[in-house]
Amino acid sequence: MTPDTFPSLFWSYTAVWLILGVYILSLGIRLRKLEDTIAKSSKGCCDTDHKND
Amino acid sequence: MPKSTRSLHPLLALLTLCAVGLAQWLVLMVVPNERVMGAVQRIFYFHVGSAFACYASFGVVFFASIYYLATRNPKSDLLSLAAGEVGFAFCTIVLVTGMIWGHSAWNTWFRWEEPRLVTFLVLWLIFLSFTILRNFGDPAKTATHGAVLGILGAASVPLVVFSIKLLPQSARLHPEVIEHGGLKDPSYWWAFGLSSFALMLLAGLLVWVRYRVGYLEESWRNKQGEESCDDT
Repeated sequence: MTPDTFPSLFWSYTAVWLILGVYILSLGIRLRKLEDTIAKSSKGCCDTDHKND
Repeated sequence: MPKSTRSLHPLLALLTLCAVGLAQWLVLMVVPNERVMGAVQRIFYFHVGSAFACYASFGVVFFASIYYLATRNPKSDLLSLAAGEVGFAFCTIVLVTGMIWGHSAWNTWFRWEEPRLVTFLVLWLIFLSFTILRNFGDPAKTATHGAVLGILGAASVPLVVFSIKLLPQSARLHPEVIEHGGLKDPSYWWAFGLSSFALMLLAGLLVWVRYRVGYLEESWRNKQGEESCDDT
């Protein structure tokens, strides 16, 4: 008779998606923050350039 | 970063999402239950696919690190960092899923007499130290030290792959499913092939995103440095 090993499968897939999810989320947050900072700084540069003109 | 490379990102993400979704559907809904182990055998598709993705990432670390040491090209350093970090994430997946599978199939989480398990743990520890070094080390030295550690870690991959031959078959727990033609049903091969492809694609996408994060951080740091020089 085939044993009931479904709980192991469940925990294994939970672990896989938890590891991947946390890593993808952390990468996404870092990328978004960086892009925002760079966009803000280049906008600030443009504003000061215009003021100087 | 050139615009042509940036526009590749959503397309690659969509392709990866489709491949991962299709692989999940095949593994969970189409493939029949294995006769002896039952449902837990389905871990195999993610376990082996993640191992392929991890070895491929460490291969990238190996060549990018050698190139960095030879040329001091900062882009190859960024690529090595990105591939090392992504490879470490997949290495962790292999270790965790392997332990859960081992507990269910062999009634043990880990076996110190098993060369494949021990060498893989050593590989994981090397890339754990690589990730810690690259994120918290002295910024002036981490590129060179990381490249040397990356080469050492990636060079140990063949040892992990062939370590399974060190013990006679009767003394081993870790199976050689593919080598012994263990996948009989054609749907097993479809699920296995697609899962491996999807996970390799996911690893490639993550390396690309991590490279972009590193590239933007580097550009931002350089810009800040230039501005502070201009102020003085």
